[in-house]
Amino acid sequence: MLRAEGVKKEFAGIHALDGASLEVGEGEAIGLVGPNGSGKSTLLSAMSGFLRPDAGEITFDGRRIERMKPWRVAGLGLQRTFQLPQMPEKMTVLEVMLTGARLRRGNSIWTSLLRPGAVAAEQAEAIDRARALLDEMTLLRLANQPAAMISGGQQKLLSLGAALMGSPRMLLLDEPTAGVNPTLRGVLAERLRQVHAAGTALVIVEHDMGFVADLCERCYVLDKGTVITSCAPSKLASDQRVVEAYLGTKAFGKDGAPRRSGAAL
Amino acid sequence: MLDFLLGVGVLASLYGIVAIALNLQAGTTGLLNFGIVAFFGIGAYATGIGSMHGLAWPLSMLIGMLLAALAGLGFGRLGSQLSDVYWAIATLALAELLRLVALNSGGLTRGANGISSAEPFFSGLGSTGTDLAWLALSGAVLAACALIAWQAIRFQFGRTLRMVRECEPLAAALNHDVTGAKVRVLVLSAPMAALAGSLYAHYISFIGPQELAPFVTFLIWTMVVVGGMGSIAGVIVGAFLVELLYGLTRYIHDITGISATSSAGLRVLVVGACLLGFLLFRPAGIIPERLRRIDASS
Amino acid sequence: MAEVIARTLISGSEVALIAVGMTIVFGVSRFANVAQVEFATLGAYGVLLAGSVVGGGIVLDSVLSIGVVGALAVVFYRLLFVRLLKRDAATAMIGSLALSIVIGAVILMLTGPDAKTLELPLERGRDIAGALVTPREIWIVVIGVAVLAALLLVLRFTSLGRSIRAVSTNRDLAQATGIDVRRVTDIVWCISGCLGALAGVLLAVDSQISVEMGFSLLLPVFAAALLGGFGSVAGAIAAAYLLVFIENLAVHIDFGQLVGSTSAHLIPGYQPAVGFVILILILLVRPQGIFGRTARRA
Repeated sequence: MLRAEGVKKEFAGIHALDGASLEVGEGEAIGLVGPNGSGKSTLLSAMSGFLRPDAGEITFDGRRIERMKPWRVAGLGLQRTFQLPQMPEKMTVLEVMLTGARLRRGNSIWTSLLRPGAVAAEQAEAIDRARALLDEMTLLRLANQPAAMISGGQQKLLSLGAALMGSPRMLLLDEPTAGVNPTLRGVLAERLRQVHAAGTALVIVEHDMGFVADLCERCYVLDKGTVITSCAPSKLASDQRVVEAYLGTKAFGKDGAPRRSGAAL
Repeated sequence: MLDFLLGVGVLASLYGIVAIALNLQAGTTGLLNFGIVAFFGIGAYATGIGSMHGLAWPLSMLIGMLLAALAGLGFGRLGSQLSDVYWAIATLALAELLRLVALNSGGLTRGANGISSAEPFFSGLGSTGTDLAWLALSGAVLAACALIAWQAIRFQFGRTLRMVRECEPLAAALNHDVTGAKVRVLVLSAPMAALAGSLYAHYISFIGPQELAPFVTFLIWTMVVVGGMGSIAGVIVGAFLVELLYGLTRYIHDITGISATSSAGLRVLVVGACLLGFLLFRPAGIIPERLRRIDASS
Repeated sequence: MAEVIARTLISGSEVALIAVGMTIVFGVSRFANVAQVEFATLGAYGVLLAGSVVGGGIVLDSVLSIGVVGALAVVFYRLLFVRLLKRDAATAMIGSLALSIVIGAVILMLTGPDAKTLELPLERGRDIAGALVTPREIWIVVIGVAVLAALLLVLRFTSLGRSIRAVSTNRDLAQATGIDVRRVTDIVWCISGCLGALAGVLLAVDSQISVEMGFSLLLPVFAAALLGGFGSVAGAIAAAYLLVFIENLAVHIDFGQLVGSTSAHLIPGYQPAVGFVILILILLVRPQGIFGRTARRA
């Protein structure tokens, strides 16, 4: 479904991506791991239209997307979240959720002006869906709070929720657990498991190996801008190349099992 | 006294329409349009030039609005090329460009002399009657524009614009065509400003390059900031307060007896101090934009 | 052609001085200061004022005026822009638009609308390779080029210059490495005020002093700063001379002759617009300017 081939991106002489390639199938859950600066987030930005690669090809459903605007990519059903989502001060949590919904009528000036009834009906349905989703994510009581005022962890959940309002077919998640407390992390994992079970493919950039092992069937390991290997999360620690890439860091416990701590990397 | 208040009311309504247009761009969408006077001027000059060539006034008015919409499209397209600050500069410069054209295209615009052939409305009603009729007309158009602005951004489109203003990348990630939204809000609001310009040309029966001066842009910005960026009610209140203040300062000359040019400078100074004061001490304006709460039942 | 080159060197130096001031302020404060062009107006009127109060001859009066405007720029920064920037760059830009209008209003109040001239002895122009140039104009070019060169050298080779570049590149990092960011920012604002005032003095010597003299340079100054890529001093200088050259060329070229018909010149009133029209065309093709960082949105 999503294919990246030989993606290159250079920033001021540094090769952030140096020919990275990967493939994600329909409904898969994929982890994207690697040491800091290995190009995970850059690759994610390239795959969501936020960064134009210098070279290489990215396709989604057979369609070339590497030169598409981010909203066009999102329109295809390939949506992303941000590592540090910036949230609006003058919009409520519920409004941010609604912004994620695909409301064709409400987005048209003409329909808003001439057929407010139809727009309101379309919106009422979205409000119900947003409230239900907020409830599942334990955020319903904050629905009318300014989105910038809720905690960082809650904002990350909110950004996931807003993306889910668009019913994406594939979600690219940029470090979903970083800065999220354990309780909310559980809520997050549960939500992602359900989304995945319902058929949405996931690509998760993550430092918390335990989280990756819980959710993902397969991992791509990035180092120095290229994908060095792909394997099951449980096999990561035994792969020599992976260990070398991480050398000097403490991603793995003494027994070789992935550690749960997200702070390790 | 009554004539003074009526005059202030008409001008406040006409500038208020432009302020509503600017508020859609700057207040709701975060577009720093420092050339809003260009749209106003396109409407005014379309009416003026149309009247010179014997065009029926509604036709000139429509042409002006259409041209302004096209200009809005151009401004918006430029916005997809330039980042915020650069775009702000470009709009200021584009408006200056238009003023230069008005000043130098003698054949088209009569240059510095301006055009005074726009048909005056309600001329048979006597002085006060004319002003009353004008107040009713401009007030009605202001109300209509306010209603259109309010309704257009009441639903998803408005949320998109506000998301573009506050977190543009998030808006893009949530499937919203950011450039398209900016273009659409400009095309929606530019004709409003042009309509106000056209009415203005009929009201004072004159249009000249000085009506395109950056001061007008600055006056409109003051109205929006004083009233409250992003708040339609606030912007209307701001338009009336600022226009009243600006109108009152005309009497400084009579009361204090300082020279006419000094009082002209002083009038501008008062408005400038007003804008700077609000920016520094009450940047949200008199009626701040409020949070849009949505209750479970709706 | 010699005439075109002479004009380019004279007014190019003036435009470059202001554009450089705008660009270094953009570097350390991250917003485009519209009031920058008013520093030129202040500088020119400052010479007039110093002439009537001190009367120390044109050189001393100019130095006094430039110094005062430099100090004034720091005062504006500290009292106004520091606070506005705490909100965002947009607010600061609105504030700078307000400030520029207020400065114009104050000058209008104090001195009236009539243009003034410095009382300097008449000079006979000399023919240099076909261009008629007065000794005073040669001085303008020499001073302008010398100051611009000195500024480039200071930025490149002194510790102050390194600090300024460091703050422009990354304010937080500069702070962390022990640079006194506040002091550097003050100095940059002071320099920008002095550069603007110097340009105003040169303009005053060259032609007239009027309230609009600064604002009338807005188009070429913005165009130069934008084309140079905000933040690049060398780029702004090169762009200023280039744009002024093209402007002068456009006014001198006989377009009629080019297409083989009767003589047809561009109306001189359009001269300031030429650079900006070219700029917009260039930006659409090459948004990063000719030298500097990108103007295109990320």
